[in-house]
Amino acid sequence: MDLKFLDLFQGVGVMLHTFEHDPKVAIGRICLILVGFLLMYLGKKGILEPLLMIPMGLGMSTINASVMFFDPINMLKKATDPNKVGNLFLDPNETVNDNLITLMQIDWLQPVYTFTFGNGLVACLMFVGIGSLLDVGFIIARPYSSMFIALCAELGTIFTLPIAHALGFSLKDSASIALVGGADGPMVLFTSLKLSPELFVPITVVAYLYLGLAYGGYPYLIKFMIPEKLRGLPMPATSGGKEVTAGQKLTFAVICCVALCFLFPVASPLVFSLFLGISIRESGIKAFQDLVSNTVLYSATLTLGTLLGILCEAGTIFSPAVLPLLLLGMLALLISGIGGYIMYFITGGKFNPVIGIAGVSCVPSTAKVAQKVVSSANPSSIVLQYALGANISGVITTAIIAAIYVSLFFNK
Amino acid sequence: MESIKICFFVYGLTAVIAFAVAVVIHLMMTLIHKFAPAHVEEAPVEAAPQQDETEAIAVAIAVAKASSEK
Repeated sequence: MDLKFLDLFQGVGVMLHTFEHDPKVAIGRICLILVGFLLMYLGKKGILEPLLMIPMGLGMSTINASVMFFDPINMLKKATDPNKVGNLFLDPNETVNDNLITLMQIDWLQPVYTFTFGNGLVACLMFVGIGSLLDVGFIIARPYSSMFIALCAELGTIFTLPIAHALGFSLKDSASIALVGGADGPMVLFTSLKLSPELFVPITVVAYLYLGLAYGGYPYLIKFMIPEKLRGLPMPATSGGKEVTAGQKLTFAVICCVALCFLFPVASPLVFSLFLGISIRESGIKAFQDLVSNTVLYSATLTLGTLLGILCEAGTIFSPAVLPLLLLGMLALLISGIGGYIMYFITGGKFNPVIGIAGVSCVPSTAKVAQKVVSSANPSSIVLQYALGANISGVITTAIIAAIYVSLFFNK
Repeated sequence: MESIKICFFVYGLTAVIAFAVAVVIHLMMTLIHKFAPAHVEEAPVEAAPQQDETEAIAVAIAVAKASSEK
């Protein structure tokens, strides 16, 4: 029997073959396996968001370990390339319909990717779930200050566009990259899918990587940007005498949803999904609320985390476009934190500048991070209600910007 | 240059829409406080009937049916 060791253990064979032909990708593959382990460890420790990091880390390590000599598209035609590598999970780069049908019968995650991730369904489901957790009463109580902070937090989303364009990206790609500054994963997924199908995978992976890191990295960013004396600044704990009922919140959700969908039909699936979640919460339908805030949200998060990890295959990730994406994404997020300082100066030093970071619409992580940092500086200072107002406004302003970008560039 | 113009246009338009949303919220709250102050104090809407409540209603209907058939 003629059996070669490297044919039997294909993972080892592929790794040696890649080292020989493309050492950068081989080293990248080993690094990504280790990064996957690290993400899982940090997720387990609670330093990073475990809901995303556990499936993503395992997916990242597994996909880079399980590459094999495999050519599924040509397999049936008996014209396979013996050196072509692939996997049994999915191929995100396949766009030809016939090939896609073939892949869906071979790669086990291809149907899930094509029917949930590739068409933005998972983003909409996440938005329904997130909406069911949002209390819009915080923004109704302080509409102007919340919107102002959210607008300041969008500076990164806005000014990254010309920088990315100057670096050679097209306007469509620049808009998708800039939206990373909004720190809203489903929105980035949706926009890059519409505007940059070629960069869709790396942009989405970079965006979610930053969102996962936000929980662990933002406290350091806040401490770096804001001195301890200002971090502990107390804020009035009352809502200004305005009690907001569920009926009023539902009215706001209905008006806002219909108006935004009327203005930006291109972004209406996302806007509708968000306000559907809010409406379910405020209408008090307990069965629906349990369904969307638990089953739908957690199923979508698990699907998303797993697929993001699987998409981190070295051959896909190590394209020349990814390094600028990493830098531009970070720049967009850094600029976004300055809104709190502007409010601090406008109010004559009465506004806690840490709340500015909550304008970044990573709901509710940035609001929780803001409160955690403020509490560590001054345990009696409660800013959560202000931070959540800014946070929810951030979702609305990011939706508006995404809608404008998609409307401007979709048909260009 | 074109991208800088676009970014200012997008930011301006976003600011106008965000401000409009804030004004709508403000007006909504002002109107409610002015014309229906009683509603301001009302408790949040009640949740859908709990399972035990639903079961109690179902039992009540069954008992009513049974007694009417007698």
